[in-house]
Amino acid sequence: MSFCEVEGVSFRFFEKSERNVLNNVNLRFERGEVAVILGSSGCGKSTLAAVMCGLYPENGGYLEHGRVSVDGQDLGGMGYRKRCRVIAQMFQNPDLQFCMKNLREELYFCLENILTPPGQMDGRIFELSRYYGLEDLLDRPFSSLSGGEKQKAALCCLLLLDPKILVLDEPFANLDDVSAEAYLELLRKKVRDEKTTVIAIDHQPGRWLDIADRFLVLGEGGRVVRERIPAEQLLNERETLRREGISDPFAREGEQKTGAAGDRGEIIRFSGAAVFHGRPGSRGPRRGRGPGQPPALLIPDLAVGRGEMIALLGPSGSGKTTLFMTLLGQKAYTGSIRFLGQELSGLRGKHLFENIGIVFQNPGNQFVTTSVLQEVMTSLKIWRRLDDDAAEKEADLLLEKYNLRNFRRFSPYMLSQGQQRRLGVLTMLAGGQKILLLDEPTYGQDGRTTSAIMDQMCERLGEGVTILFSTHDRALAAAYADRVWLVDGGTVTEPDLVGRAEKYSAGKNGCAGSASEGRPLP
Amino acid sequence: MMRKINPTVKLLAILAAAVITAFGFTAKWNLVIVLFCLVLMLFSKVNIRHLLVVMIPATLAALSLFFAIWLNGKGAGTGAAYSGSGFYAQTNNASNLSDALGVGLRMYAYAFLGMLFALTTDSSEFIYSLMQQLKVKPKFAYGVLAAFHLLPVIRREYSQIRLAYRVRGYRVTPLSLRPAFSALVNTMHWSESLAMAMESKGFEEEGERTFYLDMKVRPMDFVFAAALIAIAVCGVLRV
Amino acid sequence: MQWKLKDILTMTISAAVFGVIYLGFVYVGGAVTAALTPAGYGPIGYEPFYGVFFMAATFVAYVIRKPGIGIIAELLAALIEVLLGNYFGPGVIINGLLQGAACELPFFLTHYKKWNLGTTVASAVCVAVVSYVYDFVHDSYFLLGGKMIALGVIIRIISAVIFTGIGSKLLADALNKAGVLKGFAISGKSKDLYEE
Repeated sequence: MSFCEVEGVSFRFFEKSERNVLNNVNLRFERGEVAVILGSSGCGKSTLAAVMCGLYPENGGYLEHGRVSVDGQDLGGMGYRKRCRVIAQMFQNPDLQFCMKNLREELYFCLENILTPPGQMDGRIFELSRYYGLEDLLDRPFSSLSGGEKQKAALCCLLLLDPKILVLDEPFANLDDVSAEAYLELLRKKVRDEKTTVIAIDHQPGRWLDIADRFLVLGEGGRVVRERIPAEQLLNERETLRREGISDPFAREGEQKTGAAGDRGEIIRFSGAAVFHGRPGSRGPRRGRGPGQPPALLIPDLAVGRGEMIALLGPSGSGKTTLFMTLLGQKAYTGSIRFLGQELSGLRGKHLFENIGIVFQNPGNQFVTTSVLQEVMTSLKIWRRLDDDAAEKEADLLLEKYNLRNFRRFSPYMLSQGQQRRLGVLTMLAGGQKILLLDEPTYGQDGRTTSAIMDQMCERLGEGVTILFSTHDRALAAAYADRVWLVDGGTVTEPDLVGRAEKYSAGKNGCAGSASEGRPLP
Repeated sequence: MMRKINPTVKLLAILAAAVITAFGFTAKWNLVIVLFCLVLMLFSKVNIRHLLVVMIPATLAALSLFFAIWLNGKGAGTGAAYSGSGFYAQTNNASNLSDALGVGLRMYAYAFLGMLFALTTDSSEFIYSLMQQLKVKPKFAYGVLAAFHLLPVIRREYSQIRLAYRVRGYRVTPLSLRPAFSALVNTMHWSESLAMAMESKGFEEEGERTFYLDMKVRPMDFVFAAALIAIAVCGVLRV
Repeated sequence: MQWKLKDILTMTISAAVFGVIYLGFVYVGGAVTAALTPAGYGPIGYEPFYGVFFMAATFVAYVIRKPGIGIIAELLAALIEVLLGNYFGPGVIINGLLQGAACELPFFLTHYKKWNLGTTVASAVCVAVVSYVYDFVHDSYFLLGGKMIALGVIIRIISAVIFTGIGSKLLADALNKAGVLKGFAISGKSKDLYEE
């Protein structure tokens, strides 16, 4: 008998639904192993994690049959207090993991849950923080922590509860390299010293290569495609990964694509721009009484050409979002930012947004109706002043082009994350906008959707749209962007990429080629 | 010093004082309450700027009531005016002015009572105290605390939603309710995620738990409660 | 009645979200109040926006549909308000209790079986009336002239009907249509959209 067994788990969100999210899933895990479950978005891997931890069906859904046992103990019906010592989960969204104001209090909360006597609490927390080097994290309010620090804090809570099995749901989804390394360091220590079993869920095997004992690949409905791929064998399974829509961890070098460089004139030019916190017009820094507050971001001298794709790289919190907000007219600045030949600060509201659109990290924030068709029609009616019939006709054409026609009656919120982003792009460009900003367009996307999204961006480039996107993913930036801007230490720079020309001279132009490629329907 | 008063006792005393004050509105005693609260806050090293920010809308509310009662109150223009509290209403030619002054100043009394609590109470201690003194179930107590701590995220997301609507071509004013739709979509998502995160850490809806802080009720708490309620009673009895 | 942690978080986070939404209305209401104050009609200034202030409780009641929801939702919201601090003072707790009971009354009288525009509007009207009674005592609104009282009550009720009665129902129905209320009573036996 294995240490942890998942036996015949079938689960769906609606009892009367005919489609199981998890269909008769059987898995085994051994004590002390680090197993990484790979699978494309929507294969049910996150649902599986929540079922294993008993969070579903408690919080929704219907478990048709199946059981999960650890160490011979059936987890069914076990209360959370007991269960969290056996198996506990960490989630993707760093903002939604805590109920207290700082890590120290959150740790008290955890200890209280498991009935630790109050007198022992401070000692336990002291030990933990010394062992893992968390002293400077304990008393800072969560609202002041970066995404990476929050994920680290969330892991600490689980380390304190010390379950036999740690379940981690895409912990790196929004972390830059440095934060991800810090996070892995904690995990390595735990695994090495205490032989804790780790079950991680991800669609990017890359970061797990040197810590994982094996990889599992799940397909649709939680179907087990590969049960055991040792880390050193992963290279031989690239075909399987590609087929299941998982990003290829070895594709970093040598397979870069690039878009057509746009030499069709300047569309934006920054000249010695200093961007400040606060909205335009509010407490203008121009008045210059004394030093005042320091600028949030400096953009010395940079230009964006028409039809270019520019990637913004930099650690979280470095100012990528600030740059976007500036271009959307939401920030006060000094110096000059010429936007289509006009000073940006002179453009207001509709005149600005006729030309520029943004897709936020959470595309749900920008949907305004309850159906996909309505979403597109709304944009067409607002920007192109079409009447209902014309808008519907046009919207259908556009949905066809964006591979969303089949979902026209769906609620936007029922779409997968990748589809939501595609719809987000469509609604932003339906009015004929020429500049598109994308905030982490591939956040939480598997390999297949990542390339679908980026290929679609390339199509837009071909139509003359200019694109700026922020990302943590250097490989992605190198593969798709014409140019890379580095946002770090409060300054935007364009690093001189030596040898760039040779690298791309091979003529692999992913963008130009992909426009005509037919992609499978989602 | 107010930070050491038991949060439940503090809240109940302040609540009692506010309720009692509601039935009387002499300018003099409202001022006494304001001063009493102010002195306690000064001794408790509160953030005065926070207090001043709240006083702006309080001043507006006080002035609006003051002018409304003075100029257009019940007795205005009729010669006979009511004066005194609801209990002691009597016909009196004296004036709407003293009523107006009393009611206006009472807005400050309410505001100071509220801020005396908010500025001197730690959110976690309050929750511990609710669970220990009032036997509030942990699921309710932590439900309140979690939402309270989520406020910065809510504000950030809501302003992003409003911007997204503008980028989509909608006119968004402070009175726009449209963005509420997207904000509530997030709410549903947040409540499920937070519930699962808390439960994954072993939180149980029912059943016992230990408490890091043991919130005690001390004699000092009663001294504070008695003093505050005494002032309020004096006000209503027009001592 | 069993309250799940998720229900409770839905109540408290909704209250916080509506609180943030209401802020915009507070600014406008404040401006109107300031403009009316010199003429002695300041207390009317906020009246048109009270409906937004009431929305949270009716909204969650209509979504979750369990006995006690109105009172508990308002009480928890009041605790958040007390923690945040504002100029209303600690009276918000009493006000919350009263408003919660008023919000729930029509649903209680229909045995928690009728969830339609009729009951949500009735709920809104009850809240508006009860909250005015509270102001009558708490802020001595009885000292305002009869004209201003009548005007205030009428505007507040109209605002409540529009925002609380109709608005929160429309919002909840739209969310349900968008498929984000799965697992709550309002979504009933709705199916996975994939099967249409």
